[in-house]
Amino acid sequence: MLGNITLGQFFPGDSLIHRMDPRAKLVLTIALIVAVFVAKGFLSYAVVFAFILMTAMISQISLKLIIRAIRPILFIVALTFVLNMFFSSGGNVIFQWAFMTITDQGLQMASYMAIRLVLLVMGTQLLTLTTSPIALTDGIESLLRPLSKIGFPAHELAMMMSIALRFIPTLMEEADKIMKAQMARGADFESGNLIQRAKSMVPLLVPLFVSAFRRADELALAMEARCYRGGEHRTRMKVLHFTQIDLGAAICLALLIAVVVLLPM
Amino acid sequence: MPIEITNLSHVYMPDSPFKTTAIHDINLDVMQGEFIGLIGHTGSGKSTLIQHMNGLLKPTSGAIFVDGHDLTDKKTDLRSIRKRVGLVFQYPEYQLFEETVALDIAYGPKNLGLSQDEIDERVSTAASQLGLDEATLAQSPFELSGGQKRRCAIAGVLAMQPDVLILDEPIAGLDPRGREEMLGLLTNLHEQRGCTMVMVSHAMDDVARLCSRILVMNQGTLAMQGTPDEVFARGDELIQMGLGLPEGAQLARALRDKGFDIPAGIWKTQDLAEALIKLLPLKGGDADAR
Amino acid sequence: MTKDRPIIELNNASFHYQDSKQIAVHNLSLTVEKGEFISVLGHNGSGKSTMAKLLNALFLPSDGQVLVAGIDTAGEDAQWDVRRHCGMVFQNPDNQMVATVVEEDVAFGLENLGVAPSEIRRRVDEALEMVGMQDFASRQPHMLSGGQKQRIAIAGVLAMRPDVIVFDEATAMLDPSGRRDVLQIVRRLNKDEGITIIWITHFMTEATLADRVAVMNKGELVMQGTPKQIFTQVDKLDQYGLDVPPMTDLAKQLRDAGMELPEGILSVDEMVVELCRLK
Repeated sequence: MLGNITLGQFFPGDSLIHRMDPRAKLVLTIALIVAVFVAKGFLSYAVVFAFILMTAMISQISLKLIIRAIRPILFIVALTFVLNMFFSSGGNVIFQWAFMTITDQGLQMASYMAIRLVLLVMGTQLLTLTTSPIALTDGIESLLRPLSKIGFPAHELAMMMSIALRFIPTLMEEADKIMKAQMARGADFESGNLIQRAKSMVPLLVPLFVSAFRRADELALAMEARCYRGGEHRTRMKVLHFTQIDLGAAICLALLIAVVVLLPM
Repeated sequence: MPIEITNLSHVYMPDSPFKTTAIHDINLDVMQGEFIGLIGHTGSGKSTLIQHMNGLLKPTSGAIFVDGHDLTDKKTDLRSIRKRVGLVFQYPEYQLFEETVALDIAYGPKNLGLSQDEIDERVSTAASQLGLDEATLAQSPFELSGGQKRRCAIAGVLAMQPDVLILDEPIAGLDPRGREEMLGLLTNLHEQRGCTMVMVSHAMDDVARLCSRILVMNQGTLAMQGTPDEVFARGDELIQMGLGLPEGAQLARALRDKGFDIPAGIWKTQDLAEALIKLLPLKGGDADAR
Repeated sequence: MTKDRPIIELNNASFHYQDSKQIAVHNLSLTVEKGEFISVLGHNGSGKSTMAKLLNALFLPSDGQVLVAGIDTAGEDAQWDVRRHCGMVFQNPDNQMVATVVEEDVAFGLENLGVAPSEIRRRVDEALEMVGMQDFASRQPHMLSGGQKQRIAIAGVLAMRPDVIVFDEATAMLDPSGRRDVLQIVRRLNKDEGITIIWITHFMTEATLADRVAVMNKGELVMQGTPKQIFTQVDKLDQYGLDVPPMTDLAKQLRDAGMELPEGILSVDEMVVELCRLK
């Protein structure tokens, strides 16, 4: 059953963080990423971590949801750690076997990279949890708009993203239905080797593509009928506004970066 | 007995805040050779119920037996059940995928692992039962008209040669002629192949005309069942459930309210005409009456 | 534009194949007065949809002329004006919603027209109220029923304040209660708001609600008249692949048996009245 599809990972709420302008959130998330990368030393990381925790508390998002985002990337974190551990040179050797050497600097470097990755994911997770996909799209469009002067399709990109978001649940429902219909005709999607399984997807994928194109055709017509003619002269019902919350958040982040830079290694 | 359902309930997403009970405590026997009409408004649980009949959904509680095989038993081979119970989804034309109509109809029999000869024979039998000719078989299914596409999709299920054929809204979206053709084909299938049929539909008039028994679902339960006459006699309840009556049944009700002596169970145009002719004065001559 | 000018004028309009998917129409001539409720009947493939698309410049006539509120749809840059005057609701409720939030979808047309944000807000709220969907403003479209989605599509068109709305088989994919709701709204928009309705369908009972019925067959307009005039021609309709409302059929049987019933009985209510008169 697909009734519980949530678009993106948005967790609706009315906290200060939720009410921030999506543009501010996007820019400040980037600033947070910068902070993570200029931070050097466990103390700085602790400060950034504390900052993320505080933001999570203000946004009333449970820590569990944020930590859950780390699980899928645990492997990458581990890999980064191992690679850095073995391939950084310099410092005192603490372990050596055959061609592998582990130095204390290497170990430190590896830990830094792993911590950075985790902080990075937690920071961006906060953004997607507190911002609806449509607000996010609006924010991106508005931030990229200056680039459209040099021919960058900012509006088109945003429109594509929002249409994709709109149709993901519809197409998933459809996929579920077609799959069941083929199963009723004796299809087997579960057994067999990789090639057999890939082949068994054809009766699912062909109708799905046909339907997606049909929908695209009809949608294009419906959009035209409602006077859609691209991004020019278009207005929006919801205009984005920077508020004092955004200003406050910006100051907090500036402070964070300053602290992180000034802290000793 | 082809299908036996006892105390069937189904809950979607039981351990989540989205928990919904789709059907609750359904008891139902489908008899050999019956033509059953299943009606109910959207969300009444019809789709959930029919998807249990060929094991696409597993009951949360209760049991389903197909020819004595327990579908809840892990050892039951669901693919052999799906061979016995064919299910045609709503707008089945959206499941077509092969290069030609013949290949698409052959998909089911192929999955059954039949010989090529057997497959070919089944394809041509199923196609002719749905009025698709040789020329059509060689065409791409995507080039057919809407009504033909639908018949092709139904043929794809029929080629499995099921004992029970379940159809979800087989006439939705068709125009009057397409509807008539489809209903004619279904009647023929029932009469010639003698297979048991279950038809889900919103179109009361058509359900009433074709089916020997009507099941009415409401809020996930089986609210009523009986012959069309019995069910339409309970018009008030149907209206309360948000279901329409066939126009003939509406007229019979309205006339009874006005003091006409229309016997219960009358709703077909033919029967109404006969009853009214007995009740009302005719013009002197009848031969040249206009 | 003078006051009496018809809101829609088709003058010998034709549209021929550009790709094989579209059905051609030939020499369509039809005028629709302001405030009319006209129903267009025809079997699948009779060209109804092609005609609908001629009415708001989605297609331009290859011959002849289409005027909407006096504007020639083929005129340079006329299509935006035409589409503002003549909105359209399509058959598949899913494939005409653009936004992930109901109110954003209703706003879509106005945003395209470049209307000021505060005005959009006002008109969106107003339109949602007119279709009784104000409580669903911040819902996601895919959580709504088919009937509810169509009401949102109507609101999206209403917000643009059109003179005419074309419904291209807008109820074909709905269940009976969804169909009832949509029809009720459409009739109210016609009666109370004076919006001209062009209702394309193959449900005969829906067509009986119109002031006037036009029948299409093989890309041509073959019949025009009041529902009573049209539905009494049972044989002709059958020839065009259409049927008659059940009550009309019953009335014919009773008349053939010698009962004194007038022609043109379309609904159960009319039938009851006539039979009571005989009693």
